Amino acid sequence: MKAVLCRPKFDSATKYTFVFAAEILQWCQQAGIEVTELAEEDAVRPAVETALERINPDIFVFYDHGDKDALIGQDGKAAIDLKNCDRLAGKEVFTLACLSAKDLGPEVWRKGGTYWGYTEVVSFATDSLPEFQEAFNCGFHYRFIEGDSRENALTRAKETFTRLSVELVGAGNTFAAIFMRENGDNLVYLDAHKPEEKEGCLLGLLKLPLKLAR
Amino acid sequence: MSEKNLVSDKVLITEIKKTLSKLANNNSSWTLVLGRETLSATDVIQRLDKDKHLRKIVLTHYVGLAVEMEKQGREKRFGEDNT
Repeated sequence: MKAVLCRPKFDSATKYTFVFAAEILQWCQQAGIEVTELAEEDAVRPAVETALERINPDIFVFYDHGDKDALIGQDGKAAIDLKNCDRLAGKEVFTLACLSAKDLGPEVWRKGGTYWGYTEVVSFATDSLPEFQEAFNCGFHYRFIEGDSRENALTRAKETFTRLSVELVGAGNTFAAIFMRENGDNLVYLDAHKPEEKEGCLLGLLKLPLKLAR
Repeated sequence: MSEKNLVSDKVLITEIKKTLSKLANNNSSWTLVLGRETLSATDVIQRLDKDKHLRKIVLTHYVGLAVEMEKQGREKRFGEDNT
């Protein structure tokens, strides 16, 4: 199995997520997954496109910033967006990027890929970094290291977010617990389930009573 | 939302702000990374007054966590069949 792991580091958020991603890199190396790292200056669109074409990985990991329709590289520009996401066709995408499971994820899914990501802004508190790292990374372990099914990996990851949020309350880190729970709610794995239908789409119209649709 | 709910939300936000104030006093390096933003405890207190979306997230999960903990306590005491 081959993987490309992309991790920019250019602001305070990516300073932390760069470290979170190091654990995934280590797991890949220990499990015999042939992993190519694109870090910092290498985490930009041309290098990402070249790596995807040349290596043709089974898994693409991206930590961290994102938008509804893009994964943001070291230069602040989209490393992956709707224009070049066809390069992720047939691949397993695992990302911590904010919002990208809204539009980019479903587009990758439509092209035959799978997408582990978040539909809203991802947040974490610095008093609970080990717990957030565990929550953000556990799904990768369940799916690609343990080889669990997509559906089970998602269910187990969501259970991990819930468990950690309760433990954080017990430890007095209430605010971290609040955002742990929020992240867990916004986690999706497209292919373990389909993207939610968008409001106003034609399929939605079909559900309307005939009188209203006229 | 009823007037009663609005009042209880205010009470909850006041309690949450107290927690944040203590955080600000005890751990000045505490930071909430909210996507591309990095907020101190004092920043979060101020944002809770202005940012409806943030307030909704905080209230939803504050109450949700209380329910989750109560549920776990009930299961622990009476067993899963009695939930």
